[in-house]
Amino acid sequence: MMRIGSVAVAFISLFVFPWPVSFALILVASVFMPLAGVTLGILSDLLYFVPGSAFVPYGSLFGLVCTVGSLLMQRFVKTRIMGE
Amino acid sequence: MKKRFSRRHNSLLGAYPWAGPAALSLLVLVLLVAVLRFFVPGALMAVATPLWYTGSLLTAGVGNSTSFFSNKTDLMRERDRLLAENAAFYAKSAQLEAKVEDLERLLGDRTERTDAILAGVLTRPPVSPYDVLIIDTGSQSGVREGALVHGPGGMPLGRIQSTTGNTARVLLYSTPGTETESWIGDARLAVTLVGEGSGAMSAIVAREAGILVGDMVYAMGPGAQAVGVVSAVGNDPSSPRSRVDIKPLVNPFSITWVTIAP
Repeated sequence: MMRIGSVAVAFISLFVFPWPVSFALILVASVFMPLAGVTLGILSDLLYFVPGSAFVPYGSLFGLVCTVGSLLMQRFVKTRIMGE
Repeated sequence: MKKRFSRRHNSLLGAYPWAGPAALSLLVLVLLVAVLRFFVPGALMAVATPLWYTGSLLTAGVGNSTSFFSNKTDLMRERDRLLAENAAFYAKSAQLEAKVEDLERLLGDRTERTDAILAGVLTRPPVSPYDVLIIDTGSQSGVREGALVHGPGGMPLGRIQSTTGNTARVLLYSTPGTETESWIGDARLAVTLVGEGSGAMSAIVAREAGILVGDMVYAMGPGAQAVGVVSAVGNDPSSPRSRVDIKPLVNPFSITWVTIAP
């Protein structure tokens, strides 16, 4: 329930909240569901990015970083804590 | 030897069996949206527009409910300030009215009807992470790519970057790296404004140019429409040039209506 809720709130926030809040919610959603990070990041750029508005599409880049970070956290950090 | 399998077999999707299909469905949905954005741009905007409207309504609602709790003393102070400001504007208006009458008597009335297209702003920074406005009027109403967009008081804001049938995206002049030719100050010193993001702009001028904080910045062209005001002037004695920071006259975070030159 927490997973679906976090992804749903992050999705809605893309249309309602300022982008720093949306990006923070995407970060939270990606912790629960890693794939949500890159997915919502791409969605953010599909909605708002236009050529010339930035050097790189920040939304997709941020989402990718969230997903990779979340995967690393789940694969290594958690295993290490459990192994100790 | 018996091989052990971890229940958490896929970190990409998590430990729950339904998370995999849910995440993949989300990814497929976004890919579908990507296809729509590039091949049928109007469909994506048609889906997103009601969500943006709802977001704007919610934001306005939250603003109204918080104002209820404002400090009474602050409200009284604000009322007094607005009354004083209103009186000043009234005096200024009367003076300008007299001047217009004098000039019209001298030069004649040459007021022409404009064919500007009025559009409501669906979303703006900071909901949008870029200096982009999405407006609710598109190619069906005659909005073309590259058309000039004006804010309140005819202030130039940016240009139409892309259109769909009922919406359009406006790239603001304050977009980082965007260059706009302008004038600064009463002497109309020609400068190139560079966008800094979030509505801010900057320019590089000679130190001897005499630019001061509070000087107006105008868009180059007929009418010299004001776009901003100088908020800071760099003062590095070792450099022959000064960096000038410019803040916009209209906050892009609160624009609700724009007009588009046909």
